[in-house]
Amino acid sequence: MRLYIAYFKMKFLNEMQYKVAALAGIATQFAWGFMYIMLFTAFINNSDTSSYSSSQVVTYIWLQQSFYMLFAFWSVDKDIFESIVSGNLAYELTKPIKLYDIWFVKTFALKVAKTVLRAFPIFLICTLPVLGEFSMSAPVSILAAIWFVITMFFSTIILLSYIMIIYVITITAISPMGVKITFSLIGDFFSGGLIPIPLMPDIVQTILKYTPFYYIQNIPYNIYNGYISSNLEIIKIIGIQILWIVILIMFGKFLMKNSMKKVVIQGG
Amino acid sequence: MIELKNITKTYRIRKRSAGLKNAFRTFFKKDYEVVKALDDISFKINEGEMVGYIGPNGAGKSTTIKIMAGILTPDSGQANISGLIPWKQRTKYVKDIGVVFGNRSGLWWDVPVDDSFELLKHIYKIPEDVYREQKEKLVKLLDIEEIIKIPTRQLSLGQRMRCEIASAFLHKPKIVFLDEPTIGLDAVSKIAVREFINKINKEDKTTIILTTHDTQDIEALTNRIILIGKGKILLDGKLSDLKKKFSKKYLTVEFNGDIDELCDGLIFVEKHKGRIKIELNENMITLAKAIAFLTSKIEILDLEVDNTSVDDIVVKLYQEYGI
Repeated sequence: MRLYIAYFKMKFLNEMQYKVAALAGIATQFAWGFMYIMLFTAFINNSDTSSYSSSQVVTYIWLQQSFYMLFAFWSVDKDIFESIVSGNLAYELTKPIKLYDIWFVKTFALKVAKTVLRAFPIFLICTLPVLGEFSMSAPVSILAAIWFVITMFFSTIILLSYIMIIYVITITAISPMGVKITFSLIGDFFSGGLIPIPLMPDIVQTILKYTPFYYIQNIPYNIYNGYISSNLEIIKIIGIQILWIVILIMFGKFLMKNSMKKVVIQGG
Repeated sequence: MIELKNITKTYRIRKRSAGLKNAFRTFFKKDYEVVKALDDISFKINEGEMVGYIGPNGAGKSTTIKIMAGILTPDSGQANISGLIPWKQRTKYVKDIGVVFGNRSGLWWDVPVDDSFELLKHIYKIPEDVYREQKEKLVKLLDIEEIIKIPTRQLSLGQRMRCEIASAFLHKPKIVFLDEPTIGLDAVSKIAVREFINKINKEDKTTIILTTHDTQDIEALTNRIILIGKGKILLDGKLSDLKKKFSKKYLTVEFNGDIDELCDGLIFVEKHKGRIKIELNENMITLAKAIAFLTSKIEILDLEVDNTSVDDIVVKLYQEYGI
């Protein structure tokens, strides 16, 4: 466990160096946030069938922008890809570590570091009352706030175990780009990264409930804004989250074991 | 102790000729060529030995190292290194080995080297006092006291290499594989690295296997060399024996007078007016006798004695085995 903490610390400190990138990220997040909000509120205000209120959508978008780096599928540890492509992976293989666990911790640390740098400023600014109807509201209840924190954690773990599968597939491919783009595009769209899932057609929503994508960012944000509010349902959802974590991690580890047998460190 | 038995490894290499047409063809049909990187490799290395593993580019040196380091799984054959099979019991096995790949970096790029060392302490679960003692020793021997405070990305190749080497010895490994540790280093760094390797081999009885193209490395470091070519072991023996077998002495003499005939053991290589080059066969005549003979025939103005360098020996070896 101390090893994982050491790795976490290392990666975290490493990532905290890139402060200018974070600042640029914050600016981008605001631009996109406003754009999405205007788009979706205009859309909701002009229809009378939606069960998703415009204040819910505003809160959803701001949460999404705050925690963007945590749940962005494309934000993965490029050092891992580099080590695979360049063959530096060889060094990691000559150390008494479990590669899967180490990559998991590294990516977790990277995402937390990036989120910490970006989330708080965005969170602070978008709750300012000056923004009027465009400002983010507080959690609907204290209980919702607690559920939010718990489901955020599980959502992050689901995402990480999904990203792990991308890494593992890359080991046996020559270039990581194809795998990465395909997996992150699918992930981003179906997890509600572009359009909130409650705004998608019913049939798509029903299908998504049988995939891990439904249980990532969609859950904590919609608990926070009150769209999902039944405690019984939330407990059920957490159960499914844990189930997906178990499935994805087991699958990732299985793939890892297989590709390690076939691994060829190219060059030199 | 290291024991390899009948290790074989093949690679499938994708091939295509240049050009657009051929590139499109690979959508439908891919051509592979099977290359035997290692063909029935066997050898034994005892504890505390320092072995030079040499051979031309593409001979299979790095492949052997990767197999011995537990990274690659061979197609067939057995290995027993300190009682373990490297590729099967990898995590357990690698605790006691150190590896340096001269053409790769194992240090974290953006943080000071010392932080990378700190992480290694956790990886190998080195007790704090042992770690501190060993680090102090390595830092001193390799002269990297100040360097380890600098992020890896800002180090020169020589500085970085010394840090890489230190990082492979932090956990006091019993066996260390050095894959071209002096590649691209300047004279000073090379000598520092060689001195260090010699010292640690003698003091800690660390078994060291070294691949290199630098013949001075071989001369300075190893007694035993294993020559590999086209995936086969061609020769396994002492460097001094090889030297005896291949080494020749040459005399270049500038003189006044005439000389047409030489005694047994001496052969003309070049003959000009006033200058000759003679090859000396040490099994037949000693250097002193040869000089005495020459002095009796001509008036020597200048004399130069050349020995075959290890470089020449290696070239001759490669020629002799046709690799």
